[in-house]
Amino acid sequence: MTARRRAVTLATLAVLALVPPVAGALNQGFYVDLATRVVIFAIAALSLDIILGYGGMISFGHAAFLGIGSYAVGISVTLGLTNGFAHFGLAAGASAVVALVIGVVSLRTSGATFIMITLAFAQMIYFFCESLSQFGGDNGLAIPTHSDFGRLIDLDNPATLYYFALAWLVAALLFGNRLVDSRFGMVIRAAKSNERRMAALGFPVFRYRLLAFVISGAMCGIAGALLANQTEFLSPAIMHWTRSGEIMMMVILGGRGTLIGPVIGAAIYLVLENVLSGLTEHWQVILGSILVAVVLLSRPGLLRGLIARRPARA
Amino acid sequence: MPDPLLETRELRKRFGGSLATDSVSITLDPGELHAVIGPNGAGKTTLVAQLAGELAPDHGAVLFAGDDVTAEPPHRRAARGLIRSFQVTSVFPDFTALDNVAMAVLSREGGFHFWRPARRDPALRDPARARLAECGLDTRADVLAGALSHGERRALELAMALAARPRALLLDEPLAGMGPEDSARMIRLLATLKGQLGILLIEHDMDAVFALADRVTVLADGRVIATGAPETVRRDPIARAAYLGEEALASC
Repeated sequence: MTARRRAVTLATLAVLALVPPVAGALNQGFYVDLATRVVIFAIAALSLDIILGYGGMISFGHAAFLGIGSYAVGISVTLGLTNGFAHFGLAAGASAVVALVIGVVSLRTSGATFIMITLAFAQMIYFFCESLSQFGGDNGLAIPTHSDFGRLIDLDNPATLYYFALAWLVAALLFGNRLVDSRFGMVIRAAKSNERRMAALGFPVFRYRLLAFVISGAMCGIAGALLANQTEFLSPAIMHWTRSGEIMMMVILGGRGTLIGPVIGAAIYLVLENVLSGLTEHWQVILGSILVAVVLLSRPGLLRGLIARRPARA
Repeated sequence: MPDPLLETRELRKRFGGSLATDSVSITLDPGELHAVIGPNGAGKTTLVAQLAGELAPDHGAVLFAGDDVTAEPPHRRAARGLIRSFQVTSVFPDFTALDNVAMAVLSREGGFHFWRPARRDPALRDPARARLAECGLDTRADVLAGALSHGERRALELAMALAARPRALLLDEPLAGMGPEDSARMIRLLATLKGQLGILLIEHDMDAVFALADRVTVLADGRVIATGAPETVRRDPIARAAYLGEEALASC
């Protein structure tokens, strides 16, 4: 990690840590809500960046893992299991298993085919969850309680939930930054740069990519479990395909292949969405225009220039 | 006679109407430098692709150290120690020269490590630096591979192949496009490697071939038309007619 990227990462986390006291001082509890959403989507975007930005795997179905994590919590609570450790374990585990299945099939392809297959799998999972009538089906289902971590962490308190999510983001950033510079990360990045060369050196590229895909899916599943705790509601809308597009947008907006970029991308995207939707009901036109402008004017992403002088591609 | 390190048996590959590889049976012994020459379109690159596993033959077998590897993908063959270089230089352009070679070292050291920074790992860096130095690139270690000169990239390619600890090297025209100075350096380097491992050298440069090879095979239209010691092949009338004829013999 470059010194600059470390500085941007620490500054971003410092700002995020200050949200609850500032919101409290301004008497704007809603800011904590929005910031929680930002942090959760930051984890999702960061997980996508590992495979997209570093591995060149353009998954267009990442919202599926958000959904699986969310359903793991919602279904557990509905069936009477409220233990938080079980919730998050199940969310990560189920997402990892599904990522393994999707990866085994989709990673045999590349380019547009890979994008389409990941999208197709995400749609299958979407419609499967929509058909789960005992868990709300199409209409969704309220989740009556939060994940229970005993007296240790009380997620009923919005500020606690926020810091809990932020702790996960810090862990994801720490792990992600170690991962992409580790041997494993170098293999993933080199395979993006020149797959044929990697095979000629003896690397089973498929296996490395599959594991990266599983790690990414499990991380996004954690974000889904957090999202269920925030929205207290289970709905297939969590994994609508446009949501996958939004997560990808956050990555591209913030700068792929930087990890902290997608975190900032998530913040910009969600804050813009929030501000603009308060101004006009045609906010999506404005948001869309801004995104197009950013992508055209700054192709490597908004913050990439700031974060690394040399392209962080590899 | 020792068992061959690499062997093809009746290898055949058809592209449309023409046989790019026509019943090719060749061997490479341990420590031998075996040069394969032939005019453009003789099927040299197609042969390398079948040896490396990127192309499946229609018929015949490839054996490495006695094992039939015909059905194995490139990465398995490479993991066995059958390492190739590419005719068109194939490196990681956005990695430094040192990182490129470190990736080759990593291929032997195992990549399923998730925490320690690979760029500060002496188990990768030290051998990578040694291979770079061997290939005359020690002063260029921190330059991005994409910014190296053509000759330097050819040398980098060889450094990567060596760092992957080959038992047999398939070198696909390592001198292609090189100036005389770079060529001479590469030939000296190949001469130092001779005897340490099996090298199958595909090359156009006749001076290099006759200076280095223990054995020369001439391919034409996908077929082996002559094989033997360099002096024998040089005097072989069929080989002369097919290839050595015009340009090369005049200089020999």
